[in-house]
Amino acid sequence: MKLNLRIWRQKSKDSEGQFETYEADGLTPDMSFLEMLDVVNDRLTKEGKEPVAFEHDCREGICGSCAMAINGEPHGPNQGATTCQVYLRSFQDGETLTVEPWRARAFPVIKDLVADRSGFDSIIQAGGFVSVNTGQAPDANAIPIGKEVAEQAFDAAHCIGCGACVAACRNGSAMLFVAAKVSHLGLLPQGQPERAERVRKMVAAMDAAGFGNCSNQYACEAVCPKEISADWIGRMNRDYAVSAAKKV
Amino acid sequence: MKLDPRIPGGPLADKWTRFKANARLVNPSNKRKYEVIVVGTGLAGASAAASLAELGYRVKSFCFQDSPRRAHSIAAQGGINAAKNYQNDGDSVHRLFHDTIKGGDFRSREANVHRLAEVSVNIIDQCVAQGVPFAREYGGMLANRSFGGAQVSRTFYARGATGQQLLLGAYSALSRQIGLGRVRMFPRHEMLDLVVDEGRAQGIITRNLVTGELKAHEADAVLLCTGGYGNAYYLSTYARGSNVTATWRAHRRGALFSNPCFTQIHPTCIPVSGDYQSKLTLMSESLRNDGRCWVPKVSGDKRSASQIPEGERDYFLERLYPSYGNLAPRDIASRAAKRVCDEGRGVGPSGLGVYLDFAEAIERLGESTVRERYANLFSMYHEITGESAYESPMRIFPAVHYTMGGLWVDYHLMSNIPGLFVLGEANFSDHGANRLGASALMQGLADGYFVLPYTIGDYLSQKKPGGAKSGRQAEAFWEATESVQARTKKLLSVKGSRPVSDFHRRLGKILWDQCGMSRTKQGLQKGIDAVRELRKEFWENVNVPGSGEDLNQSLEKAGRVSDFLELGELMCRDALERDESCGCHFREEHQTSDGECERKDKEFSHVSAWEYQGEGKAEVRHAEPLSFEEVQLATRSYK
Amino acid sequence: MSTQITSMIQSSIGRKWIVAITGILMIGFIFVHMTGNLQMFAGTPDKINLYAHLLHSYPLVLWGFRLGLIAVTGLHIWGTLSLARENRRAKPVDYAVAGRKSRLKVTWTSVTMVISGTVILGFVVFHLLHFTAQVVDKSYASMETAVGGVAMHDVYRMVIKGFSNPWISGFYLIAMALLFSHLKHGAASVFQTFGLRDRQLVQVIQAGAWILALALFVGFSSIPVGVMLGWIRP
Repeated sequence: MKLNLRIWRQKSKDSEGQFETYEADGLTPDMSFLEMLDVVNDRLTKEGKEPVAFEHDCREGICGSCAMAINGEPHGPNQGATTCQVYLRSFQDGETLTVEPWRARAFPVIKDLVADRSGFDSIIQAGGFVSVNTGQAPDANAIPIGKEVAEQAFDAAHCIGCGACVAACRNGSAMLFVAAKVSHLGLLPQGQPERAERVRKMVAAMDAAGFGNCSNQYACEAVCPKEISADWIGRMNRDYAVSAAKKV
Repeated sequence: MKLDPRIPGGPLADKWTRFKANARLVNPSNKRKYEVIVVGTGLAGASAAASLAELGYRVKSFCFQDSPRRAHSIAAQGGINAAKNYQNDGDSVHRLFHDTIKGGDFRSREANVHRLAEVSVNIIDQCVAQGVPFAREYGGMLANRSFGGAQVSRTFYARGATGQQLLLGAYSALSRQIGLGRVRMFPRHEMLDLVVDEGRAQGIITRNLVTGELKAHEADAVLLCTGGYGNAYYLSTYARGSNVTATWRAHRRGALFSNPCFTQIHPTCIPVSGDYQSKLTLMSESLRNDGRCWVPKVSGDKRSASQIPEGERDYFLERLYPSYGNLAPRDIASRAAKRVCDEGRGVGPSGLGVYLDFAEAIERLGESTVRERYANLFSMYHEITGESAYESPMRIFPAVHYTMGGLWVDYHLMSNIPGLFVLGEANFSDHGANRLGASALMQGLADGYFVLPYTIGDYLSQKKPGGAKSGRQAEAFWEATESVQARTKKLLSVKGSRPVSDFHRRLGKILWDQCGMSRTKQGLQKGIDAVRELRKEFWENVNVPGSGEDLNQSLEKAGRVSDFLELGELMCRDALERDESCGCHFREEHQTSDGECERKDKEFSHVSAWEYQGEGKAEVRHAEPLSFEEVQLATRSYK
Repeated sequence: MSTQITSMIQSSIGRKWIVAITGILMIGFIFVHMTGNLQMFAGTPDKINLYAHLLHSYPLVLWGFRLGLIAVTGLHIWGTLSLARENRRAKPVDYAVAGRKSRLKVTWTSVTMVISGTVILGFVVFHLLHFTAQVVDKSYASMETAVGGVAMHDVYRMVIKGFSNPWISGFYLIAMALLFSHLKHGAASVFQTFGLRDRQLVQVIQAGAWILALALFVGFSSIPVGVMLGWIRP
């Protein structure tokens, strides 16, 4: 199997980038997309060129490191999968693939396909937690939580922070990411005491980090590798209004 | 060298209580004068950094990833053990302690393991309070599942992503402290050296992975929470970035490395499909709750699974270990799988695989229940193999998954270098020669939330805050920075013809063949020679493109692989010197008539602890004897 | 805590709420407006003329209402434009290759909200100049009639004359088509902003928004079409 790759190369944050074309030959459909990049990189190294920088770590779809758009689609063509979970059987022999880093102002490119996603961390630091110190917890079964609620909270909490939602959004908005955390904690009894403050602070941090706003197009939901529902965004909107109402 | 584990006196069950009652404390207003460095942000690192900051210490936290949330604890699937006995099935702290000691084939320290079992219950409380969405029963109470090596149901889980949820809990606690300004976070920073002066750990040297800048960080204590070294095998279930560099460089500075040959091979991973492969994917042990392992009864049977009638299948785990069946511990299950494959009964294109069959579970529980329990694992399997495990059995094969060995620590989790603490998988302490499923998460969080915050105070209270600020100390930092710089320069200047990955792959093959699921004297000797030769070739022929002044992933990899090339030799040597079989360490020379491990307690009831002697020199082996007061040393049987 | 409230209102989500609330108010207005207009089909000019006369009999109420509507529209425009400006800034570079619409769930109506809104605004201005200020055709102002002995402005005749011009009717129809597009996305989005969207209800909400938008389109368009086709005669 053979693929033509157009890969974004950019030396550093401040330098201009451009596409370079590479041919990848001798591939097999069972190879993962990132394994193909490994092969390309080993070849580039042997040719005395600098390999393509890209982020990856667990390679099983949970760490959220891998982040690239394949043909303008964050994480590539497969529903509910991260880039590392894309296998070459998803592509046609001889196809040309354009590979780009996440595109958003809040995620500046550091090098090649590597973008800086620390904006996400700053949002969590602003309020994405329950303020409980180590050792303060009551017995785990002291607060019963319905199975349904626990499952819903998990659905929201399953976010891996990869940033595909921002990358897919025409507005570079982080609403799905923020809403998932706000909802995860807002659904659980443990999250209630700080619920109103949490959403206010996290949204303020989100705005400050330079993300755009939601215009209800749901590309975020469509590309989310964990298929997190855009309904959480609605829930956050509501929580936010309640939070504001409490201030009045 | 005499290794003092500093185990408190008194009966086993009271040791931790007594320790806490007598530990020296740091006055609350003095805590902020102490600076603590935490390297790594996995379960152990994030929980320790957060807890120490909550106590009032000034904390600097480092990780090589772009965010602390990406540490590989995130990938743990199955669950976390705790002796809550919520199921009323006879669990207790003592039983968890006993299962863990036995699971580790009597090669772990009793006092540490007992403490682990004691604090396990607090971990669940803490995590629930943080909002970790554990699985629940309809009545709202926490649900449990069973894991290997236990006859009680004590594993708490959050679907197939327990590690993720626990790590995000610890990450949120850490983030809170970062937001409050009590923890300074340094993502994309890799620790490349430990600074030791006046016999104490004084700080670390880091490289900013984006700018290449080397920086010295001083501290009153250094915590290494940097995980295991399973990536020495190249193919493993570890994250690609997982490495031994932090602990290995500390080892080169004098920290003893214990039991490096104890590496866990997990029985249920997706088999290798080609030589380009970069990673093996684990299928959680929880699958063995409902899946049944089998191979054809006769060798060379190439029929597809569905064509092999029930009577011609060998459910080998159920046959060999009737009382634990498919839930036999990992080392035992892995070896059994290897044995049936060696007999030519393996399945799949390579013959290196066994079936994990859910047909019976689907019939008994219905597909929807099976889906509810394992959907994400089944879909992961489908993505990788293109096959549906609802229709045909999964194919699985053992793969490197965890390392029980690590830096030597005493009861305080302090290494032999005062001020250097080692937590989680990076230390050797709790799992002996084999770790039970769902115990890694337990240990990481126990160390970070509930053990270290107590033991570090005992150390710091005896130390004046701040460095000595002597000229001599500055020299130590200078020397360490210089040596890191020299190594970087050396890596970049070889400019040979082979990429780093080529060496890594070859190292992995040597270790897998000679120091893998079964080991022999000859093989290990061969392995040592081969690793040495490969290391030599590496320094003559590696090609690291780019420069040291920017983001250079090849350089990062090269540094890590160069450490693996040193560690690999030590792993083989440790396996060679441990002339017995125990847990994961199976020496073919020492087996019972039915192919099980044969321990030699008289000679080897101890922890090996290796001391670095300098580049190219043979390391010196020390030993910490293990004494067992509470458990009886017995042949481990799961039959 | 008033500064906090102000900053909450000015935040991204705060402005989304303003856009949604003002959007609903405007939908309410145009719905009533359409119902009034449909009196053109009453068969007699008197009905709509009386209705218009009634509206103009209370100038204080009328102007209060008008100013309110201007404020609502102004807020809606401020909210959307400021959000849109930030959105453009937040995405300075687009992908060299556009992803498939099927993968990214992109709909044409949702990405053209600013365009459709701007054209509708332009239309509203023209519409006001045309029928309210009556500066486009000076003859409108002098169209008088009497119903039951009361002299009043002949709205009926004015509308017929207005829509007899195919250019004006054409523009009107284009604007109404864009209104349909704008509301198809906008009305559904209101549910999301209010936190009422739910995976199970998505289809219902979208269908509801579609029906509402279509009803307004058909209702408004029927008048110029009616005039052009001779269903409404002088």
